[in-house]
Amino acid sequence: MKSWMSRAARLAVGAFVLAAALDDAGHLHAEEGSSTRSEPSQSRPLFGDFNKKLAEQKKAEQREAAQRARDAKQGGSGAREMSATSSEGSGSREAMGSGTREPMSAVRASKPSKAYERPLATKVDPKLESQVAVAAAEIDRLIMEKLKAEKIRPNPKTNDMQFVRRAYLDITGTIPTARQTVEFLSKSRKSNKRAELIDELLNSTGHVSHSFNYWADILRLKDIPSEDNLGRPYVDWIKDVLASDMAYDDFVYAMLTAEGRVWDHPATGYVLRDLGMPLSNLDNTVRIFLGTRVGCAQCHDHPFDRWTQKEFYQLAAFIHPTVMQANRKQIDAAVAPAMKEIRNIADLEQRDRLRRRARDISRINQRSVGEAEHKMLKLPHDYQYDDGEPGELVEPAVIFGEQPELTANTSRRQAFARWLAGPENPRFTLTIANRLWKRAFGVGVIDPVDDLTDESEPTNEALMDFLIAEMKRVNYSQREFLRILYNTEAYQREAYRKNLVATEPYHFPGPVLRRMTAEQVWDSMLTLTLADPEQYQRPTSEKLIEAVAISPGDELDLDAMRVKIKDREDEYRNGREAKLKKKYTHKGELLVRASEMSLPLGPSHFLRQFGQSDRELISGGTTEGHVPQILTMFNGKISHKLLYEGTVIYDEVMAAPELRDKIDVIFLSILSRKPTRSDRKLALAEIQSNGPAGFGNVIWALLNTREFLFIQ
Amino acid sequence: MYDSDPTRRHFMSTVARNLLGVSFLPLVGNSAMAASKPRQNATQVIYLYMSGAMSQFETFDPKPGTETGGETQAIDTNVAGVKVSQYLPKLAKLADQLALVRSLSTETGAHGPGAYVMRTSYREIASTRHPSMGPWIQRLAGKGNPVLPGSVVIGGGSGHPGSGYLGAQFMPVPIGRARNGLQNSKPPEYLSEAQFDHRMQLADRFDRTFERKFATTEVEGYSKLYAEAIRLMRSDDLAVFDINKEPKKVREAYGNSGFGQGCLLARRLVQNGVKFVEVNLGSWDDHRTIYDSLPNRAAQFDLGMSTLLRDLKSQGMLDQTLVVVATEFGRTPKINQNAGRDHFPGAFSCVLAGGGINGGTVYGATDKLGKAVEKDPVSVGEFNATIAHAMGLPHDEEIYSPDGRPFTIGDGSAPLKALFS
Repeated sequence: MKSWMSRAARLAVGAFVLAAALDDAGHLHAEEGSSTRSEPSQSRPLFGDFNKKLAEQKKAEQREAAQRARDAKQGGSGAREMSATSSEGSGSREAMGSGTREPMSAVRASKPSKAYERPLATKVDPKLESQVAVAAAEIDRLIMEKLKAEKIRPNPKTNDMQFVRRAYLDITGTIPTARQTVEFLSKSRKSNKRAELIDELLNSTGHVSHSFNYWADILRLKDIPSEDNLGRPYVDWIKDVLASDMAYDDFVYAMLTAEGRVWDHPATGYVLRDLGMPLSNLDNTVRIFLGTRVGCAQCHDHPFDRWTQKEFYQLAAFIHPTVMQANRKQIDAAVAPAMKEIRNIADLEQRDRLRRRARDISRINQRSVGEAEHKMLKLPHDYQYDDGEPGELVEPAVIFGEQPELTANTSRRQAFARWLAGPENPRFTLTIANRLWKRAFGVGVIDPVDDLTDESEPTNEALMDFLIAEMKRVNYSQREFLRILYNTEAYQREAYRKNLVATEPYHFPGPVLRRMTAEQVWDSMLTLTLADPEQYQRPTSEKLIEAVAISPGDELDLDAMRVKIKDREDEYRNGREAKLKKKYTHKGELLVRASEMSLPLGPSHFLRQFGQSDRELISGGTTEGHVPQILTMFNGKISHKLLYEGTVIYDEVMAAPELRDKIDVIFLSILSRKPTRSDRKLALAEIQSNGPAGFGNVIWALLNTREFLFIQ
Repeated sequence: MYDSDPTRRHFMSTVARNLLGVSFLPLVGNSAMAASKPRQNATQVIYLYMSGAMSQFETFDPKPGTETGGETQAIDTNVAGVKVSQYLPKLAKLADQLALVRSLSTETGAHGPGAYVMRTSYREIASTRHPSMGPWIQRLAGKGNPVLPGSVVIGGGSGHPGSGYLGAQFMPVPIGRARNGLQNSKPPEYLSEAQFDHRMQLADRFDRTFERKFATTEVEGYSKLYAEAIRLMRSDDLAVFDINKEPKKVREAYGNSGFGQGCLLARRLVQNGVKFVEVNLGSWDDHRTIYDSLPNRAAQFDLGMSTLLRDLKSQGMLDQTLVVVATEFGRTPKINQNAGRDHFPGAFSCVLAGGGINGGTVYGATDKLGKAVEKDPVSVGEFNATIAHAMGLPHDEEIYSPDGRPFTIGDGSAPLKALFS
């Protein structure tokens, strides 16, 4: 194949399929004059243009929900202060979290009736701008003080090209388009353009998407944790939490205390994720939210830390009363007629198949999280230490901080959550502040972020203290906290150029160099391909829930059960999501943002090749390189798709008037910078000697540079 | 094996040495050394990993008729007095080739950390990441084929410790599905080899400023990866990743499961000099209704592994190929209220076969109810040191991590020499 053009012509059929497929949805080409790829949206788009009526109806509901959430939040902040000073404050905190909680006594006895309502997306607060600047300046002062003391020179400030690329990648998870880069570069230097860009990006759909990938990795989100356990409502909820920037402490509190079925109270998905393994769930909880590893003490005294097995069990005694099949009896009764009929089916194979599916459906409906008041935990049968006997009852006690006072009426789960997610917990605020710091800078002030011990020392203690105070001051808003970090001079410096040495503290002369995460690589490829990669937002799981839901008191015979089984399978096979996915699939590849894909993806998917987690281990994602990854960049469908007509980069290169401009567009699109003199010379020679095929060669070559894969 | 076309080799060494800053020629020398090892040692390993914690009661250490035995029956094998569970009828007929190790125990009862210990001999700690067995062996023995990867993991999860602190050049190559082979190993048809080389040269020149500016180990590691990727693409050995080259009869004999096909791919890879191939069989985590879900999976395992052993034997490769069955821990003696078994690191079974191991042996024993190890306890370190020993590798050679700490393949443990005659 001699020229790029003739190759394009040969493949035109394929290219038209792409164009046609996306034209159906109406947004392949960027509209002339539109400067940004996607405007920050008011609320997360629901189902695109598919059902306007539904969308309008939803919006009205969302407005109401948002009002309720605001009301609850106001009550909430008060409650938070109260709970810090009063151990009797159990009643007040319930208003927080999902915003739909009922008084404890009612919840514990019966199933909550109100269904979950989605909150409205929110933005950063423009009024806080000056406070952001003050806080950022204080961080810079603390870092400079340390650098001076250690005699380390800070890195030089990033130029606008370096900054715009890093800001887009860190905040929205993708490289900017050439247009976005040019727009930023063309703004006057005197303007407050960096701070403005940070705000714009924090308000974008892309930020929700990128933050979702981050939390999905930590929380090991799966669509279907097991056949008889629905994960989707919880997955959808995590997106809502991030879109509405729910206060982090409320978010954690909700996950630890939510009761009911996952579609009514999606935060219950957190404990249901570890169904049948409550002790592992506790281990995960302490690691994720308190940055502390107590898991070893599940079976024996911790070998490297001070935790004893007794302490682990005392902590577990708080969550031990959690029940996950609160609806068991009612649902068993509801499906009894169908189950009886199934037992009488003569054909063994048919009987087994039906029984399995019917059982999955009834188990999905049995799942309902609650709290059994008098369920006591015992020490294990092989308990080997002197401070307790095997089988002895364990009284709940926390492992550090203040012991909650417990009365007979106190919900233990709520007492545990108040302790864990409270401002007084010495490791709770520290852990989230440190985690988000690491998100921005690549290394924690304490690193690793989830292996704290009594000996852990921050590399900069004053900085760590300040970050903790700031997290509290911004009321645990992840977005406002990140906004401060991105506005620091320290963040806006060039990346560190040398190897990090594990044994030497890093004092933040700038952020560290990082390879893009799998999701950043994928989403960046998508940015080069589609005019609006965010157009597809994964439909929520309402239809699926409608298909499987059984109410206590129902009576299902075999026919009714068959309808449920069929509806469930139909929804998976031909439901709204399945249909939309077909529409967005080009040559066997679903072209949507990483956050809108199934969880987890199969092991051979591009994202998995680049290190996306299989969602088995906490923070299981990796950015380590290996040969198959390189092969995917060399030869994979995605890299070559970019060389065809109909992609953003192809069209923009073609639209640029002069050869010089075309070369600029290529560099700005892929590396967010203008070509250097030698780059330009090389590209020019390439295109002049190889004709149009030269464009393809330059694009391919730039995608296969480390400069593309790394965030500097 | 290695393309000898002078222009291509000239290009390759140019790319490798001048453009990408490394030379691959020493690796060829390395493999020649590896090939001269004494023949009685195993030269390669197929490591069958049972992810999720395989129940010993339902596989290699059944306790029929006791309060802990559950529904599982034991069946006779072709070795007098040795029984396995009814779910392994095909392996029962090959017991004279197996060494059952029934006395393993660990102190780690969570999947991630347990799998980590089994694959690395070390507990997971936050300050370093230990190498798994494949990269360890590649580090100690070199590559068996200069072009093909040193180790391959088929169907593994992303929590795999991989090459740990040994870095990207020892990273096992992951294969998602055995049937699909190595993805993206061929450029699109329109692109000639010369055009591809031309593109690589362009990429390298565009990348030069960045590479100079950020001279970190991670960035440099990519140079080696680019060179290795190109070598692999140009290799005739690439065809070994394609199990469709096997006769249909052979493919069917391994069973139509991902695991069975993975075993077949593993055989093809070790046949061509890959030192270590891990094949994963997942979801043994039978907390609930174990007797509904386990039999199918056990049947896949039984068929895949038994076919693999017979195939290796008929090709005359069984003596050089050590086949290992490993899992993170066992399952509880007690059947829980959900008719499943929970995590039990206190006593569990793993298996060794081929590679000079004495077949027909049972090493170690649990008590009558399978609640504890009663005889010859075996640690994970000893088990892994035994793998090294079977290959004639120094199990006590210390390899330093970048932060200066010494580690050995079996965490300082001695191999189980009783398994060798």
